[in-house]
Amino acid sequence: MAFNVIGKTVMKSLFGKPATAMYPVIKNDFYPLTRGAIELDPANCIFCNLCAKRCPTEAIEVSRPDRLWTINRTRCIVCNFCVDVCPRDCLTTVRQYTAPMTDKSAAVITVQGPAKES
Amino acid sequence: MDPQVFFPAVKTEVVEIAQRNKALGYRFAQMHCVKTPSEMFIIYTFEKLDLSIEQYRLPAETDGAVPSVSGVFLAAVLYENEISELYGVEFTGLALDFAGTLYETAKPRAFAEVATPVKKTPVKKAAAAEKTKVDLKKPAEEKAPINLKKPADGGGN
Amino acid sequence: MGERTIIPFGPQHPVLPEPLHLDLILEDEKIVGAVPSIGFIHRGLEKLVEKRDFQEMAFVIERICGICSFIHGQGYVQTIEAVMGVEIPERAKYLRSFWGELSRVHSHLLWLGLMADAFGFESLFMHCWRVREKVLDIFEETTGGRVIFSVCKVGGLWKNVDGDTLRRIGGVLKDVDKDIRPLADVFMRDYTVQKRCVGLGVLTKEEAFQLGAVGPMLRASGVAMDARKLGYAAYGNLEFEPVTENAGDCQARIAVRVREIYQALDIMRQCIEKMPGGEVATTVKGNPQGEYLSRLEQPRGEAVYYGKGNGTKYLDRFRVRTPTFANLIPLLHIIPGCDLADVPLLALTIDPCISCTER
Repeated sequence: MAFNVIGKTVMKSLFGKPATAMYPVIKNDFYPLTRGAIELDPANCIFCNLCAKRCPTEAIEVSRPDRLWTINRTRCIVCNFCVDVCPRDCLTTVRQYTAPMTDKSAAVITVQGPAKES
Repeated sequence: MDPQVFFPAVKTEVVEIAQRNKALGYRFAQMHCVKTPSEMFIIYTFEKLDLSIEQYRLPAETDGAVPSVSGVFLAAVLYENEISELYGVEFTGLALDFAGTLYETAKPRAFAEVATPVKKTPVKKAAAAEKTKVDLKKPAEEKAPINLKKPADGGGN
Repeated sequence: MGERTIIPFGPQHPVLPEPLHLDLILEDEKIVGAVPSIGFIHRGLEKLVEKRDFQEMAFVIERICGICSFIHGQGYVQTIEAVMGVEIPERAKYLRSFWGELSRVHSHLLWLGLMADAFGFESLFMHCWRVREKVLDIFEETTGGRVIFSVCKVGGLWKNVDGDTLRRIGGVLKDVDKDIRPLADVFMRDYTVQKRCVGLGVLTKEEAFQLGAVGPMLRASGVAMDARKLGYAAYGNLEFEPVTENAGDCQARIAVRVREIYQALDIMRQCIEKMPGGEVATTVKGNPQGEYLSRLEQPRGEAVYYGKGNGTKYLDRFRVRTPTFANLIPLLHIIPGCDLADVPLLALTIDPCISCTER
């Protein structure tokens, strides 16, 4: 029977470096692949609607005649399916997650694309 | 991947099959119900110590009665209660009967109706979208390159 | 005959990670029976196959549970690949085994922390979870998410991991091994842990096999059944043996899970050494037609996945039989005969993942 086997670990933790960072004074970096939120670069977007069709939660809505792309940030699960199927590679994943909001209407973001040429 | 073999079974011989498999050293692995617009059946899976399985397919219908194997394998109790609650198949001779309170879904026999798939269509809501537009001419915070040395900026978009 | 009282346990209880309700029937101080009640987290996820096509369904299935999420995703895509007859590249198989074993390490560390919390040993709980943070950082670095990875797709994987990252991860895993050793020592040798866990909830070999126990519940009673021996993904090329103990009590289950962590770290080292080059995905054309049943080894036991396709892009049926569903009946078997204070320990010893149980 061994007593106080945890003693050595506790002493090391007591006098060693803390395991947590002092958030919010010190913020940790995200990794390059971290999935935070989805962003659109409208310059190349052809409004083909593939991202909206493939979204598992129906968070994206595309309106071709009005050249509008809408995403509901609280429905988006950042699964990256839209980023992978976009034929023009105009969707990217940014590393910063969506900030908490007190008003649900702030969740929907709309991006206006350039007017159709010809 | 090896092909799967499903032996057909009839309601009257289900308990006999279970007893025979128990004598051969199988135990009860799982049981589930499949309902499609054209057919409905229950699949039993028995498993042995060396990980080999034997599966049986039993045709069933909602509100039909099937003898329960919980007398032979007590482990089957939870599966049969789940099937009777979600699909409406009645099992006679259950060792432990929850009488429909296992999941307590809002709609009884929730899985028994098979819906036709819903096609997702693009929605045109130009007027509502005007209010939530983001002006891309202004330099937004996310567009700045993220420097790995500095701590990340707080706050989202 | 003493006086009988009924005491409700759960669904809100500090020791339970997910809601489970038990009505405990006590006679004086001993428990003589338990009536379970589940269904608090039933979301009917299996019915979503009718509305989401088979590629998107992978994202739904991996959200059945937060702890076992990767292996649910892997089970889904493996079943659909078997239905469609798709052969994935070797590197994808090795990476899936790698992430699966990493999932096992993180899940067992989480469970060890919860077990320590159940008998009041909070500093051990915090230390176990501190080691787990290193594992979660590896997940975020390679897949982009700490809990839900979204990395499995029908035909392979969405993301690749290059050789340098893998070598660096090998170094981090050696640190994890070193950090776990003193904590495992506490679980196996400390007097207080032994007093609470030895001889509690004994499940004999025949009972465990007949009642349908799976995973460490079964292996701690001496039955060497491990679904990884079926050879799915890259497990056919990796060397390992199922970890068993003979006592069948709570202490034996703790010992099985601790030794499985070491085994998983060893399997990952083998994966990194043997990882072949190449790409990680093949293109998939057409729709699934046919049915298939596959079995995978989750950290909690053997999970059974059944998929049926009918030629359209929506599946007919997808069924997930999770290990906790099979372990609930043995739980009801081991509860009678113990004291009231031992119920949290017994509820945790099956490693309950109730959100898996009622999808």
